[in-house]
Amino acid sequence: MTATEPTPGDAVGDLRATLKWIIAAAAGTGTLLVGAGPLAAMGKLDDRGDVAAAFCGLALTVTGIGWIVWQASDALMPQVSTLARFDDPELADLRALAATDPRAFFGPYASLDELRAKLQFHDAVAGNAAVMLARQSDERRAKMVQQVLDSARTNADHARHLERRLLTIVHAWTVRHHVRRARRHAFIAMIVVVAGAVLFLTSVNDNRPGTTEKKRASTHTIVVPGSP
Amino acid sequence: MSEENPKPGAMKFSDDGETLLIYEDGVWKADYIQIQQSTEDGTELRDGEKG
Repeated sequence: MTATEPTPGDAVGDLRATLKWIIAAAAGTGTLLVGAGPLAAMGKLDDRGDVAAAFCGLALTVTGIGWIVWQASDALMPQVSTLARFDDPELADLRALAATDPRAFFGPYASLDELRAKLQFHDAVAGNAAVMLARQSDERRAKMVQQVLDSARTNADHARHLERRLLTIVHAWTVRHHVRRARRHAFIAMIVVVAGAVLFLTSVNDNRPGTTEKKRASTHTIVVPGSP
Repeated sequence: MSEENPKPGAMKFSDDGETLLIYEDGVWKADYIQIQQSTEDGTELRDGEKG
């Protein structure tokens, strides 16, 4: 493998970078919708109903942004992954992918269980061969044992490399699962943010200077023609 | 390690001393070989790619 080739571990950094963009976008949108201008206008509200509506809108917006940050930061937290996680329900799609191309995941072995069992086996062969070699006085036999020892070490290294690779994939997939969940939550939370912002801005705009007078004038105009 | 109940990876020479036997899957085998690594073994997966 060359240094420029992508690895499953690279995906973790990319996923987390995506999540940081989601947080930044959510925070930016919230600031834009309920910025300093509308907040300043809130102080001029005189109608209790509008104050309550503005407060509810603001609370909804802040809750939505907090929800996004909470979910995203949950996914950004360092994860501890072990190969045991390969059987987790949340990695079902990874297992399905492995089933379509086992060689890409397990090399010459049929499954994770076989890979782990064979790694243990090759390690045992290497260990026993090393002991036998140390006790061997016959040169011809020593050569045979040495050959097995070399093969066992190579096989064990290969199996260990596959196991490490699989662990990295499991880790990347776990982070991917958390990022996808955070993205779904972010989508729902953005609806809450927008709903809150609409409520807030509507109540604040109702009380802008001139709006109330126009309303009153409009109401007055309607009433006057109706009077005798 | 007892001869009657060997563990996987146990080793011994055949009775004529010509062959090195390794215990695997419940039997003594004489064909322990180095596994040839395939180029497919190193296939890397990246998030978003399909297998």
